[in-house]
Amino acid sequence: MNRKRLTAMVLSGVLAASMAVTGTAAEDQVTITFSLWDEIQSVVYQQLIDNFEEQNPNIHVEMQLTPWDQYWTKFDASAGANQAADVFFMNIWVPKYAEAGILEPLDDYMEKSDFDFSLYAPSVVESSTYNGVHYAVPKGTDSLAVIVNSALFEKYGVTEPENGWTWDDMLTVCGELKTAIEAAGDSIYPMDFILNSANGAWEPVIYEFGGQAFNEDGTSALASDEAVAGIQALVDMIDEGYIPDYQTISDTAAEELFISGQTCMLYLPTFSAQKVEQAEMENVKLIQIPAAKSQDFLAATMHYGMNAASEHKDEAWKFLEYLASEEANDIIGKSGIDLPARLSSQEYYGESFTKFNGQAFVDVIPSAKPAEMGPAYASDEINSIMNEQIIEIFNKNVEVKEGLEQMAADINAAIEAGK
Amino acid sequence: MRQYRSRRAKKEAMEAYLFLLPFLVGVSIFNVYAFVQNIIISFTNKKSLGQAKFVGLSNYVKLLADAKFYQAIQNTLLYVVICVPAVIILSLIIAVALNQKIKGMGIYRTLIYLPVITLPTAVGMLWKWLFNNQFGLINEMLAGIGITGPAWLSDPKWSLLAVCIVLIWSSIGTAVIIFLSGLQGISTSYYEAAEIDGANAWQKFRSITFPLLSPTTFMLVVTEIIGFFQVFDLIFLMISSTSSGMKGARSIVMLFYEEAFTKFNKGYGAAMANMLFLIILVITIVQMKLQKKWVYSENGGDDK
Repeated sequence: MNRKRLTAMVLSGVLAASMAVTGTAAEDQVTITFSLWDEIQSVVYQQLIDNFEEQNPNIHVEMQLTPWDQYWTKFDASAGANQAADVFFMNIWVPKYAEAGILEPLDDYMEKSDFDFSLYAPSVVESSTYNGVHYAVPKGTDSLAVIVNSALFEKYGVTEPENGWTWDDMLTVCGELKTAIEAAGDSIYPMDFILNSANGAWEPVIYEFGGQAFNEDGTSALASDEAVAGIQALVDMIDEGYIPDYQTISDTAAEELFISGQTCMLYLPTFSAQKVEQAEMENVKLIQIPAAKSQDFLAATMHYGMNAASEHKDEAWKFLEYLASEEANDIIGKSGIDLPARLSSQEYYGESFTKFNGQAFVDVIPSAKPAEMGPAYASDEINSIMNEQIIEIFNKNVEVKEGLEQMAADINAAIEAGK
Repeated sequence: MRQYRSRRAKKEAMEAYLFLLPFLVGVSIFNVYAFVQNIIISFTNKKSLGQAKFVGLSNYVKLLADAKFYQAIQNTLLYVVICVPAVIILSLIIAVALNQKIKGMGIYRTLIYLPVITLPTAVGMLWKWLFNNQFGLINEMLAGIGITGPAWLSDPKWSLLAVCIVLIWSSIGTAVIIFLSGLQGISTSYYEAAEIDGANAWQKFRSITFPLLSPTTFMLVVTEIIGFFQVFDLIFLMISSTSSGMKGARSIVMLFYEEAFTKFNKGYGAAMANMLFLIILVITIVQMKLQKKWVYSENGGDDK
């Protein structure tokens, strides 16, 4: 009996001791979560996480991948329940989530670790700020260029365009191509825009024609003469048969049309660049976008945010600091997944492609203007108004001027209604 | 004795409730609670984040003036009007054809049911390729017989019909199975009697099969109508939100999804869901009233 009791005491003692040991071990090891939306990028981010964990053995980063189509639906649901990841991909929605208190203000952390903003593209830094407070760490920026299928130019005997070309040059090239295509009895298009992407096609064109998304006073600038001229230029190209119309690219993505040789050129945003890189294409060349009235163009920006409800903010900041580091930006640039925000790493992005020289993407970054979504409370509404109304315009259910006036009026009404 | 019996009945009832408990808990959490919450949310301006404010009936007022909502109602009615008769008629024909003792009938029945057990995502993706304007098989085949096929999914004039084709294709299987079980419940003695009287196949169908199947048909019509009023997944899978075909194919539930989960106007979306509930409720009540008129009952018509 006594012996039994002794054994029991010893055993429970061992058990308690072992629990204490594992207890302290668990305390030292902190797990933070990191959510992102891009499967191609996730491979590179896993590598970054591995490097980070090696340098910080006490922090474990758990990656949560949600496809783009569901990312924001899931993000809003989890953030509303204080369940969002500790660190997450963020893009042009910084104002919305800063306003909602989801994004942790980062000024204190940045001050402590001497964060140097001058190392990053100004357009990215600008759009990570809301009401003068920094809410996000710069990740990267979109950019635009034109990708040219040289084989088709050779086939039709048309001289390829070069850097420094203008919008009118583009129209001339398109005209020559169209004549040659028809003469050969083919039915492909000279040029191609991703018309169903605001950031990837029609908003940048509005900026190229001297327009912008919002006026100084915060009202929509989409009904300006410049904006009308930009969209009209695209509609004219549809009418001429220079580019596939909206219906065609709804059916088969504009990038797919280019990859399958249905179009000779494509107005290519960086977020689709990997599609061309990974396609089986030879003989492609990347040149700068044609200048219309202005060198400016609109480019969406990407950031990393920290959850204001995180329980491990210091560890999350360490990870953010690493993601913003030269090492991480260089890896991202070299992998070609995203044009990094850190200026010194951008050249690697240009060199990362094997099918073409990506330098044209990098060259134009100084002219990039950050995308805006209007006041935080109305940004979801504004986004959806733009996507719906542009269909009416490109499908010619309404005149360009009239359609953009309606779009601007609807946006202003949404801004007014939420005030 | 009596007391014993009632005590025993009570015990049995308790046991039955115990077995039903998991189901009842599920229903009350996911159906009843969600339904009540939805009604409450529809009177607020709830967005995805932040505090919701009570706004009275303003969501409903806005809804009744929303042209997109009427467009969605019109599209939804078209889905119902096209798909329900098509599914009922086609599946009845197939069920009658399959209700024979031929070798290999099991294979036919399996083939007919296959679309039902196929993952809707796979169905959506596959038909999306078939319908593609540039590379799709359907337009390729139409071109073979000299017809230029439309842009099925991106032309707003055709997108609804294209979705209907897939909806009908994928919902026939279930209806066929239910019709088959109804057919097997009809006693062969009726047919034997009719044969003695010299009835041909059509007369047998017209006077025996069709009336005796009417309870099954009625049940199917009611559930199919409810189902097609809630059409969403195939539209969502085959037509992207930025496609020019969406306008012609957008159903009420699709519009609800866009409002509640893309624009994050949850309060407004909830009001829309409640309106859909009301519409389905009214239509189902009307059908129940009409039931007596056209459902044939074997024992004289007033069985309860």
